[in-house]
Amino acid sequence: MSNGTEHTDDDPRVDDLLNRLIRTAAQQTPSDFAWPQDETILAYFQGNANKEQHETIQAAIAKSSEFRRFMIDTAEQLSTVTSNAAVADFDSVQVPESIMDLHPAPVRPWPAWFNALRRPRVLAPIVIGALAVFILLVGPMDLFQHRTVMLAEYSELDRSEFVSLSQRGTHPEDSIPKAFATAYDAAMSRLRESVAYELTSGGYKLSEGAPTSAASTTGNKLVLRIVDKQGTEIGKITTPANGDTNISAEAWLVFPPQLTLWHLPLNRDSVDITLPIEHPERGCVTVTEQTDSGYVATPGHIFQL
Amino acid sequence: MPSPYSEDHPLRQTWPSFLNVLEKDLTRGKAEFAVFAYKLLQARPPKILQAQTTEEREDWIQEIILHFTNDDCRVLREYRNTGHPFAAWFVTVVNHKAYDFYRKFSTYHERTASMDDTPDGIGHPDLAEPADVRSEFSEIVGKVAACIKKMSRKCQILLQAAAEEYNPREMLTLLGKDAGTNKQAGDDLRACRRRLKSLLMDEGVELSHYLG
Repeated sequence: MSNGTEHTDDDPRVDDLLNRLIRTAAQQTPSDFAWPQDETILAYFQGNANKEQHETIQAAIAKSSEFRRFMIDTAEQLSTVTSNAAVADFDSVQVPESIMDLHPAPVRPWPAWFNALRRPRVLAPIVIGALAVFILLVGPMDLFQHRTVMLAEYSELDRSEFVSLSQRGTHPEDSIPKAFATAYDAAMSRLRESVAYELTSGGYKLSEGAPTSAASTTGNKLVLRIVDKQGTEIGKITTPANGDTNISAEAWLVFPPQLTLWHLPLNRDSVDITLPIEHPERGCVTVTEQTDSGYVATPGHIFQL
Repeated sequence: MPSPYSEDHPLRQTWPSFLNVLEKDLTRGKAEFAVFAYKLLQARPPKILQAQTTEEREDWIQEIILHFTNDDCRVLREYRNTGHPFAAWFVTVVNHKAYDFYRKFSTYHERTASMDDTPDGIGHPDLAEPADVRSEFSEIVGKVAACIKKMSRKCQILLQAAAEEYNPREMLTLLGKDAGTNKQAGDDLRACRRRLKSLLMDEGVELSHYLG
C-alpha cells in the first residue's frame, strides 16, 4: 500500500467524504428492485429463513436505502413489541367505540374510474357530446330514412322493388344503402303499428251497417269517400277497378288535423275503419263509384259516423 | 385482563382468540381484531409515521384495519402460525404498509433530505472549491457506485449502512443472524473501506485531493 493510501486511511475526513459519496451513489433505488414478501422478511427476522430467502433479503438490503431503513425500523419494533413495556402501553390504550364498528367501504358494482365520470365537470361534456352526436348523426339518419321511405311511397314502390332498387343503387334520387331496405321495413312496420293503434283505439268504428265489401256494378273503381258535413273530402278508400269485391286496394286517408298523407297497403278482404278525427260526428262515409265524370254516390251505402 | 408478564397476553399469543372467532362470527372477529390492531398501533406505531398528528394517525389506523379485514379478512387469513407471536407478523405487514403509505406522500429526495443536507455532495466544507470539483463530482459518484458493485455483498451492506450512519448493532441487523459481534462488524467495515479506496485509486480517484 502506498504512503498516500496510508495517509487517507488515517484521515477521518476522507472517510466522511467517502460516506457522502456512497450516500449520494445510493440515493436512487434501482429500477429492478422488488420489495421482498412479508413472509420472507419475517422469516429473516425470526432466524428461520432458508438460503434463498436469506439471499433475497440480503440482495434487497444491498440495493435499496429505503429497504435498509425499513429493516432497521421493523427489527427495532419486533424486538420490543412483546416486551413488558409494550404490553403495559398496549393495555393502557383506550379504544374508541367507532373502531369496533369499522366496516369496509361498500363494494361498488362499478370500477373506480366510473366515479370520476359522475363528477359534473366530467359528466356534462360527455352528455353534451352524446347529444351532439345524436343530433348530428342519428337525427339526420332518421330524417333520411323517413324521406327515403316517403320517396318509395310516392314512387309507389313495394318492398321488393324498393330493395331491388336499393341494391342496385339506382334509386332515382339517392344511392340508398342496403341498410335502408331494413329501415324501410322498420319504418313501414312502425307506420302500420301507428295506424293499427289509431284504428283500434281512437275515433269511431264504421261497423254498424257498413258493408264488409262493396262491389262495383259498372266495372269502375269503388271509392269510399270520407267527407265532413261540409262535404269536404277528408279521406277515401279505393277498390281495384277490376270489379273485385274485396276492398284490398290502396287506401288514401287524410286524417285531420294532421293532414298527413298516408299510403296504406291494406291487403285484406275487408276493412274495419276507425277514423281518428276529432269530431267524427260531423263526418260521414259514402261509397261512390269513380266514373269519368267524377264520384257518383251509391245510394244505400251512406254511413253516418 | 392477562398480566403484562403473562405469555397469554394478546401481544404474545401465536394464535389470538379473534382468529378463531372469525370463523364463527365474522363481525365479532373483525371487531376484536380491530381493538387489538388499534391498541398495538397506538402503543407502538411504525417509526416512519411517528411524526403524524393524532388525527392523521387515527385515519391511518382505520385504513390499516380495513386493509386486514376487507374482502372477508383476506389479508388477516394469510397469517400462518409459525410458533412466533401474531404481533410480530402484524408489525411486519403494517410496517410494509406504512412505507407504501409514506412513499405516496413524499418524494425520494424529501425523504433523504434529512439524511443528507447536500444531496449531490456539492458544497460540502471538506471539498475543494466546488468549481474545480463539480464537473468531476458526478463522475466520482459513478465510480464509487461501480466500485461498490464489485465488492462482496457484506461490504456493500456495511459501507452503505455506515454511510447512512447506522450504528454497529443496526449493521448487524442488516447483515443477518451470522454477522457476529459489534467489534467484528467494525473490523469488517474498516477492511471494506480500505478495499474501496484501493479500487477507487485503481480508477484514478485519490480522495485526499478533494480535501481542503
